[in-house]
Amino acid sequence: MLHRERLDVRVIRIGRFMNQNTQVTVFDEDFAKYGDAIFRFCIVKVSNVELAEDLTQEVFMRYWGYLKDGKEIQNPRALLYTIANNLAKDWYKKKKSDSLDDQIALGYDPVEKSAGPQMLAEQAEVIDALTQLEENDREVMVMRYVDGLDPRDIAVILNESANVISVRLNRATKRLQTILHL
Amino acid sequence: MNPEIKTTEYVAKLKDIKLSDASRARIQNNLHEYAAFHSVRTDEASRSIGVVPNGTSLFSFKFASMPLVILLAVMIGGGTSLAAQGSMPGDFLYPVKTGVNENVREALAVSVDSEAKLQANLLEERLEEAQKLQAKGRLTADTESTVVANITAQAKRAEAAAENSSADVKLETKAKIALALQNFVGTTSLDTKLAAEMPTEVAAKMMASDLATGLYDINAYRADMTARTEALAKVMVENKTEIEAKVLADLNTKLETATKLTVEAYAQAEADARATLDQAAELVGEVESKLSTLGQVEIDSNTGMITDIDFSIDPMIIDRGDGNGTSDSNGSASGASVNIDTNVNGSVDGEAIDASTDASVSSGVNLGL
Repeated sequence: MLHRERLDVRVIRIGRFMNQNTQVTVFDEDFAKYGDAIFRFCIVKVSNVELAEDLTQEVFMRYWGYLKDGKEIQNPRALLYTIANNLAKDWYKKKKSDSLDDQIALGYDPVEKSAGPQMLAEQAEVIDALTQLEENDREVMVMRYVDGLDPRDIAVILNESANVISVRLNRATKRLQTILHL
Repeated sequence: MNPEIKTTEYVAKLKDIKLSDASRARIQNNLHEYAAFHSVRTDEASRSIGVVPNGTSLFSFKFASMPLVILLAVMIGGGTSLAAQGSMPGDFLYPVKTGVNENVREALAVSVDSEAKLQANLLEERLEEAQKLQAKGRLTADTESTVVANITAQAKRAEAAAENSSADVKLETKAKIALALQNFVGTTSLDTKLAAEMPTEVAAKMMASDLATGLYDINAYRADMTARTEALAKVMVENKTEIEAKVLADLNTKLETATKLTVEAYAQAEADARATLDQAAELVGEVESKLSTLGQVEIDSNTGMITDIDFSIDPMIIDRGDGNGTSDSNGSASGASVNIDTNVNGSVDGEAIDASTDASVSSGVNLGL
């Protein structure tokens, strides 16, 4: 199930000298710049490293669809997040229908088990704590405090008003405090 | 400490999470493959000749744009044979190397395709008019001659324009022409006269039902690939002593695979066969491209297949040090009535062609665009 990426993607022009090479170069650059951020976003969304990796790949493949048409993308980062958000939503829809046993059988291990050597135990712990938040809260926390996105950008990506995002951030922080017994 | 700050700092611990090197490399690889497979396409409006889908070789379609080839060959600064132009695999027609003015390039690209479509449409109109006249009983002996003459002329124009156009449009318009003629047969009293007047190739299309049914009839495709692989095998056998062993081995492998695939395609159903033949075509394209860098290739102008290579002549645009050349070249090609008389001076320095040319193209240039 695909969602339309609603975002201000301004099509300025179809590049005159755009070709496969130029676009792949841009593609590589964007993956280098934003790959990890999208990966983090996905981990927080789906609480599983392998799945997050697959999702990340999927996000960039869909992103390629925009690049190959030569659309000049004003805010690549925002577009990538939006795609990631949509894909995660689709995943969630599917997941809700699976029972917990199914999930484990399908390999949806909790993060601590699936974390590779690149993730510290500490970090795994943080992620597991975050999973106790609601999805909406979780994603704004990560986008704001891990990736440093401006609340206004977050608003655009999530298609909400800036106000809603601020409120959500506040609320999420408080909830997390409770979880952490602070 | 402020609990709120502690919380946000806590969350910020995630900042260092990154893809592992292995995962990153793996994903990057997959992304590259994906991008190569779903490669960039340009639509007509923005088409510059500088874009060609991956894996396309010059020879994978029946050597379209011959008159264009001549014009550009001349402007580069060497009026040697057509084949020399053909020996720029993948780079051929690219404006960066040819120095063709960008506007001209764009004009050519846009107009050849629209021209092809236009002429095909006009042919349909002529045929329709003839049918209407028949229905109104206005086809007398006199008017018949005129109508037949008009249709014939238009069919010739449409074929020529289709020949000139880019690969996709060419297939499309040729099919359109064939279909129109095919449907016309038997609907008027003009058939005999028309058949007599029509140039043979066009007339053949009226009779051939297979072309009308698909863009590129699967049987024709199979036969075509068979012919191409056979022709190439022959060329390579005849010239094997001239080709470096390692290169020869590589080319042979590709050609064998292509031949095998072509044979398979005969046994497969149409959809699968097309895919298999496409694979074979790509390999054949690679072989042809490579061969054309080794020497000057001779190409059969009807079939677009390589028939011979001359290794004593280096193909153009390969680094061969200093070269000063002047050439008088006359070129003419049928189909689009190109006649070019020019005197061209060019000098080649090292790798880059810096062709300062005084190309005066006589007014006899008529590309039929």
